[in-house]
Amino acid sequence: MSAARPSMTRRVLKVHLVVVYAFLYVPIAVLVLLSFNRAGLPTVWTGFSFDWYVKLASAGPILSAAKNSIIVAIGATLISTILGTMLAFGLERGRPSGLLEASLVAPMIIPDIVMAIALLTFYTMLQATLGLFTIIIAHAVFNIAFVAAVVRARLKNFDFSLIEASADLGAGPIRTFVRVVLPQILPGVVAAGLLAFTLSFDEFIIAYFTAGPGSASTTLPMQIYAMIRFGVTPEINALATVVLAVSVFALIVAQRLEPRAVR
Amino acid sequence: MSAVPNTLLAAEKVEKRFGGVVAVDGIDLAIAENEFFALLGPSGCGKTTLLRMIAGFETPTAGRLTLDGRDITTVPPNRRPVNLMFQSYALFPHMSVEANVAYGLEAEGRPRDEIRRRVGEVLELTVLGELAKRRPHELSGGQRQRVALARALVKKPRLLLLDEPLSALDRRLREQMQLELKRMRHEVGITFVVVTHDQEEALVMADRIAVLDRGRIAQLGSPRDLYDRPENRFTARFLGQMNFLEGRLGPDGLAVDGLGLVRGVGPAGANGATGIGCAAFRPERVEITDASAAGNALAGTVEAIAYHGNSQSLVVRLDGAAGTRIAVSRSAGAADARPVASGEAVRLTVPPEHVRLLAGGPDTSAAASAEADAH
Repeated sequence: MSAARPSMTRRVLKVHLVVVYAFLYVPIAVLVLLSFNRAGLPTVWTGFSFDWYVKLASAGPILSAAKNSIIVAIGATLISTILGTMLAFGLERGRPSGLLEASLVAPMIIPDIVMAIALLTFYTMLQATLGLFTIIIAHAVFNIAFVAAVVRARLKNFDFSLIEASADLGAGPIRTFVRVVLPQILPGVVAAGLLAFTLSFDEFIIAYFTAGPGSASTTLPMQIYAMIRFGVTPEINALATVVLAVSVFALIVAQRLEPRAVR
Repeated sequence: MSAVPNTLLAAEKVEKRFGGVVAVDGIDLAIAENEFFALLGPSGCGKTTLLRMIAGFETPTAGRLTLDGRDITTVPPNRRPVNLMFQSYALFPHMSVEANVAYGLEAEGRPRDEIRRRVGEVLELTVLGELAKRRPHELSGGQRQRVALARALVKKPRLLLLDEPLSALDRRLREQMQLELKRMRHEVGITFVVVTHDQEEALVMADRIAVLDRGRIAQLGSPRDLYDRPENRFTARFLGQMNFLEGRLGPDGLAVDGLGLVRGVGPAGANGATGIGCAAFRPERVEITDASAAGNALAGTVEAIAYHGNSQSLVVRLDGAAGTRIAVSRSAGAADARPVASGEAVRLTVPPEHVRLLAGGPDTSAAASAEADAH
């Protein structure tokens, strides 16, 4: 009978696994499913339909919020990818510094709400006009940390003597970067950029604090939050599904790029 | 340093410190046009740092480097007519062989057809024509080494620096490439400076060798000079195999306990130095004799014999000299003419002209010689 025990344990663990995954994904699955529900009721399935998506596409405030979110995400991605990559290089090549390492991780673990309040206070102090631009800068702040971490992982395999070889062959710094460094680290940089994009695209708390009054700089998550106060509609489900799709797509691309070693 | 005619590269009191560590300690050096020059030394002797200063990757803390009489001490690497072949080869992994070789000419902004022609010529010289489209990871170690060489040669540099060029290759390929490098240098007529810790590599390839010890030049000369006429213990020990007898230098030779006077030549003998010193001689200069012949006579017991096919090496424990063991190397002919057995008592002769009398105690470069023993 003792032989049965491990398989019993294993079976229990298997059930446990299923439960945990269900816990993680069932709510999301329900949301996606309901976004295709013909009737507007969250409780009864009345048939498959794209109606809510069509409706979404014609809703003015949602579209403008989506546009804002894309602007913010692209802006934050560009800034954080450039600065984060430079930072990664500096950390990888420069003198090792525990302080710099620790301060790099900080933006990733500082609670968003703290970051949001800090940024708002900072902007107020500077008397900056709040809007899309301030959201972009705010998002770039925490994104730089993520970008630097991803690019650094890539740089671990980078042969820095290639830079010297390029200089030795007569190339200036720009040619060296474009022809030698970038092709080597591009997958890592693109992956980092996509990660930054998703993080920024669906970020709510910091955007909410740094967007300022008025609807001109409302992002998609903020729009959803505003709509949800009047109850969860299938429209919101559809919108959330779109956001989910964008994020998942970007993450999959990013992950695909990351581990593969380009030789 | 005007002793060398047609000086191409000159180093004047070049010094490099990293924090408190002195890597290169005031080196004066002149390398002639079309020379094959080797910087030889154990790891940490400063040879790579010196090379990197010539290439422009390090700036000397003090001193001056000139190329064709022009001061290049602070000229950045991409503006020097000097190319370096990296120890790791540092080939661009995302480019084909052809693109790797063309890279340096593109950086110079050469016209397309000139680039194509010169790349083709160099690939032919380095026997890489058929591999032009391959990527570095599709090549063997020897092929990669040739690409690295081609990439540097195509620039027609005034000076080509090679950092441990053959260390990544296996023994057979290494020997082949030593001769290949010599051949190519003659064909292209470029001055080569090679850094190596491998004394055989330096002896085979170089016209002149500078032996480096702790940031200074221990001795500079032709391979033969260094091998036959070492001027200090470090050089004597670092190149090839050497026997040492310790004693006190006097006007007529070296007095060794239990052996009497050992006569020889060399810096210490010539300038009549006195004090602690040694007699250094090569294993192949020791002869086994039956009667007492002219020269330094020694006697001892054969402790071990190793057979190498074309030669034979013996370990002989001397009578006197506190039982010092010396190595004796004999050609196959000599070994056949006068066979010896382990345990046999033998008489040995070392001609004084092959004994170098060197000043100083055995500890003067203990760390460095321990390093040399490891090779």
